[in-house]
Amino acid sequence: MRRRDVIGGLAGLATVGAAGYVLGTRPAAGVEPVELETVEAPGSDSGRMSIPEHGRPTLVEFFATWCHVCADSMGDLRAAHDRLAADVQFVSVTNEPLGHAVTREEIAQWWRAHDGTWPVAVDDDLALTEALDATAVPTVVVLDADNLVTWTGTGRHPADELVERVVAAGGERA
Amino acid sequence: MTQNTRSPSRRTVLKTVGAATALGLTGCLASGEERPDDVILPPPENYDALRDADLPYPIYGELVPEAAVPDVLTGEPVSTRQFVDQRALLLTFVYTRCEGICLSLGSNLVHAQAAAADAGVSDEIALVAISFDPAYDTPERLRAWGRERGLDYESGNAHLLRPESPERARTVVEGRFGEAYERNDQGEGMPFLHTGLILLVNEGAVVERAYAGEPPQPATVVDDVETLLGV
Repeated sequence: MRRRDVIGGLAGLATVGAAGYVLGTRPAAGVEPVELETVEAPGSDSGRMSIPEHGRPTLVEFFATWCHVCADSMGDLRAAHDRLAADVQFVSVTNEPLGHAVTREEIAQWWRAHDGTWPVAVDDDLALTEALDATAVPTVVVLDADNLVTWTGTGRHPADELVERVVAAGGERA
Repeated sequence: MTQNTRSPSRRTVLKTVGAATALGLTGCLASGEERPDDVILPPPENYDALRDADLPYPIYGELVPEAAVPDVLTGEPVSTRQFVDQRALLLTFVYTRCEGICLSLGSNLVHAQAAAADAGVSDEIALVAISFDPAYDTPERLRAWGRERGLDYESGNAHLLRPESPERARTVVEGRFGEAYERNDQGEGMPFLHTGLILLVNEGAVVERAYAGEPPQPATVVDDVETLLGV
């Protein structure tokens, strides 16, 4: 069974569980973390990372190596990353199929070419993409320490806005 | 591939998107009784409403329209019906000029192609994109577009179709398939607004899924493809 099937099952249970509550007071359920592979690249170690991580705010950016706006967004992301405290989970994710559309080395090359300085992960099973309902690139999702989504934005955003969104989710400035 | 499909002025676009959005809100109208023959997937949740809506594009249980358009990868025409008894078909409509927020229409083909390859059934599905902007989308640009997104040309199941003229594109894409599109002079980096239709067709040429209105999760498309192929 694929991870995304497991997550789909869990999400279904959450929906059923919430159905007993009066609409509008429905308790928000935090997003279940997904464990993704991280790629060896500047600011990023080869390994695994649980995203979004419980206990601290998260900014996750979905990108693709073919996406020009994603490339153009890297400066703002880098500035936002520099201005946020280390306790914020800050990660970029591509869901391009590994071994088909891209290789790890191509992701690392793209990362170097666009001066990434934070972890970059692969969601080629689409589990996190589905959990955070990302259907376009670039998409930035901010979550608080309870893994509740506090903001989702598509397209390019100034560093100031990205920082504000994370601070509003409980993140601290560097 | 624009993200903004909700504020176009062409009526057909509004009709398409409006209907799909409204249907989404009606929720779960289970359709048990009148399930069409010749389908493998269960009906979509809102099938009854979809069927009553007289949508411009083909839906679950209907035959995929026929059109033959040259493939820029081979130079040979490819017909949307030529895969009967051989392959399922995942079909979408694109233009390469999107420099804005781009939906993953092309990426769905790439994900489905990768899933089929991983399951060893590359020869049981065709991945087809038809451009509705042939004036700009030269064969070179279309090939580069597909290659950039990671479409594999070696496995022989990908086809990038380029209508011979803008008029032919209008006839095929909007006229036959009901994928409405129009030029967009305001949107930055988005020369077109369009429905964003993706069709999943079984090897009997019957539509199993028509994803439109809200963009589908790529995982949903891949899951449906895998179910259809039995992998």
